[in-house]
Amino acid sequence: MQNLFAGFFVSMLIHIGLVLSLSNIFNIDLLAFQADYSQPIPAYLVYEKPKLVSKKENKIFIKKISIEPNSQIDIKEMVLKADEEILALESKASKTTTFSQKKTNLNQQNQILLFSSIIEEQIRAVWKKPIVSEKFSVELILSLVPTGEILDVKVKRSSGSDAFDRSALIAVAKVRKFENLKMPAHLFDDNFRNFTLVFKPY
Amino acid sequence: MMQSFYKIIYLLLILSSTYLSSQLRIEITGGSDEPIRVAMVPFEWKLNSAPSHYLHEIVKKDLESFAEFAVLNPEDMLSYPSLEEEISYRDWRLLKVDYLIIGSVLKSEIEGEVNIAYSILDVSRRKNIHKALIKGSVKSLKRMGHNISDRIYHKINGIPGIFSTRIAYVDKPLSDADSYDLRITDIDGDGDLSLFKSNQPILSPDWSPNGKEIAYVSFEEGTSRIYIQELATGNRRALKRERGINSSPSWSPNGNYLSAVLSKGDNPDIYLYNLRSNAWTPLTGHYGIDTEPDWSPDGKSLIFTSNRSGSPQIYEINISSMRIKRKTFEGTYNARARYLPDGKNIIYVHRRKGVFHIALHNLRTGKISILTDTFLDESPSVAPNGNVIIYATKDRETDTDILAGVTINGKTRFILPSVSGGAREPAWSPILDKY
Amino acid sequence: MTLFQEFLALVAIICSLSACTNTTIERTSDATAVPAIATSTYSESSLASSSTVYFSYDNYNINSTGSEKIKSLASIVKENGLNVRVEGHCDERGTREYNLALGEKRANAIAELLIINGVSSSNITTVSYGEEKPESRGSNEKSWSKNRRALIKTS
Repeated sequence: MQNLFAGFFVSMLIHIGLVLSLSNIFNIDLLAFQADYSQPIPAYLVYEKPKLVSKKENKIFIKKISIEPNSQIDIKEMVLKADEEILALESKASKTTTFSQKKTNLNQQNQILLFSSIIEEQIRAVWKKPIVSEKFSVELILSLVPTGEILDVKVKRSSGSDAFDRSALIAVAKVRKFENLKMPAHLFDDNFRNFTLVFKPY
Repeated sequence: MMQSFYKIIYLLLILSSTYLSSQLRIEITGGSDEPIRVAMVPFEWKLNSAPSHYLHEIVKKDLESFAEFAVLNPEDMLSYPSLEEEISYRDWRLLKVDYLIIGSVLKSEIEGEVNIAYSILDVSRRKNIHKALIKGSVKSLKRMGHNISDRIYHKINGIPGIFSTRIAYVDKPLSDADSYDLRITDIDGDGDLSLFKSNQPILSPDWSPNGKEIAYVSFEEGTSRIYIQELATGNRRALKRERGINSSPSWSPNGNYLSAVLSKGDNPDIYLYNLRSNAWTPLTGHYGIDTEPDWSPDGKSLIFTSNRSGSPQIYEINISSMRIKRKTFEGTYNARARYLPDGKNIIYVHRRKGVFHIALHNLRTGKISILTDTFLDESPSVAPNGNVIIYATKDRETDTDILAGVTINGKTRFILPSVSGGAREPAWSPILDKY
Repeated sequence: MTLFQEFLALVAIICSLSACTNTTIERTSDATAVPAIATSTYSESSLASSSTVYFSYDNYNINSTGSEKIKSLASIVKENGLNVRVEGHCDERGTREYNLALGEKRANAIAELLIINGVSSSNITTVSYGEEKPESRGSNEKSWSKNRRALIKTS
């Protein structure tokens, strides 16, 4: 009986580990979402109005929010907020005490995603990829300072094509300094001080 | 006990793999669609005579041919450096220029010759990425211009430029029903000259791999026969003639063989001709029509047209194993296939709803895309860098035969104006100035 | 490659490895093409008369009208000991080389019928011109039907 339980538990851990590591290898975003609207779309948020701690009121409001174009950052902030509040609702329902821990983890993941996509957009806007016919991919290591300025860029793994590598280096040189990267210090140090930029147009 | 131990080790290994690649990876999967911005400062001219051509005008016209580049006009430049020390990168960055070309045309010690020294500079990183010196006669100034375009194209795009290549084609003037003319022209339409004239049909020109000879079919003896003409001298020689059809020559990549079609065996089949021993060897022997062979870039296979299944389709034969595989399964007319230089794709004439188009076909996935929307398309030929296709088609309004082209991504189309209204059978030369 | 060129190539390789920009030296050639002089070209003036048999699209079957023509032609040829040259033609649709093969099928079909009707094969020559010598210009069925033909020339 005991063996069965141990077996079950280890097997479950192995499977979670597999899913997490495989999603890392294949760069699958477990928490991905896209917010690319060209016109205002009504969004519906379900959230609990009163403060998290209080148990007295349980009013549920449905609020209609219009999302304007060019406010991508607002959308993300809004969704961050919504996630936070959904978590709050969930934690209340499940009565777990690790709510604050879950909140910071989810929050962090979302923030990393958010700033990664900001970086990606700024590079995308200036990258002019060459016509090389092969399926090339080059990996660069970027070093930033908290202001967003790019201190250094190195080729981590060349694509084998001079022209392709160069186009990536030029894109980074054109950006010079990433905008809108204001984030908590530890988040920056852990993830954005040094990171890998992969150019893979297919 | 040991079992749980191994399970824990396995678990740790899996979980630790998530930490091994823990540095953040951001993927860029696409870029800007804007053309690459180039500025070529008019070169310093250090000769006594006036220039016959302006190099920057030649380069501008070349690079803008396929909408891949935007070349700055000299009037819009803020400065005109000719040496690297004279460059103020800030100026060029302001003009949003990606690459800058500066240079000088200098006197040569040799009479009648010039030296062109130039550099290609990466404006964003302030780096010299190519420094070159071209030597040539004053008369070939235009060619030197095309050479510069080729180098710029290659450095930036990673594939060779085709601005020094030529197109061979057959011209049958509208005005004269019994005149056939094998001609070559530069890509920009200059240097159009006749190679061989006849009052009997000429077809299927094919360039040798070194660009020095052209094989073609001529009916000058009253029936089809394959000839090889040396461009520099005009000398011709004929392949050993066999009974029936002798046509559709295709040069092997090593230049030692021609694949062609003979019908001496009661029906057209693919044969190989050994250029040294002048011997024909059969490759296919089916009772149907086998024709239009083309060698793969690695020399190991041939694709050809066959109606063995009832209608023309494309087949591939491996020369060593002699195994034949059918490649096209869509549509009832697929013919005249040509390999792209990567050996992984082919183009051919594909009939869809009664209309003949040029299709691009991936040999591995079988995926097809139609490249043309013109009328009665035929004889496609690929540029040696695999990026552009030229083919023969009809101008419906004037009812003339014209040569048209399209980039392999389908985005840019162009037409080569034909003076006589009877241009057909284009064949793109290999890269002629190797470096 | 000359020694000098090999040296340059070596320098270029070393430089590309150490990522320095060395000057590439090139030379453009003046070479241009020279036209060829045609040797003898075939002329048809020696051939006397000709008759035409028409075909339907992508087909080389001879219809009844055609068969009749060939039958009567065969007797004339046999009587006068004439030589026959059969030319196969196609309309412009489809690829040129494939049409060369199709034209040959048409010419061969005519030749076979002549042989069946008693003409000796040694008196018959066949040639295919594919779509190269159309009777009528124009990209419509009217023109195309006129071009799908075999010419039987006797001399």
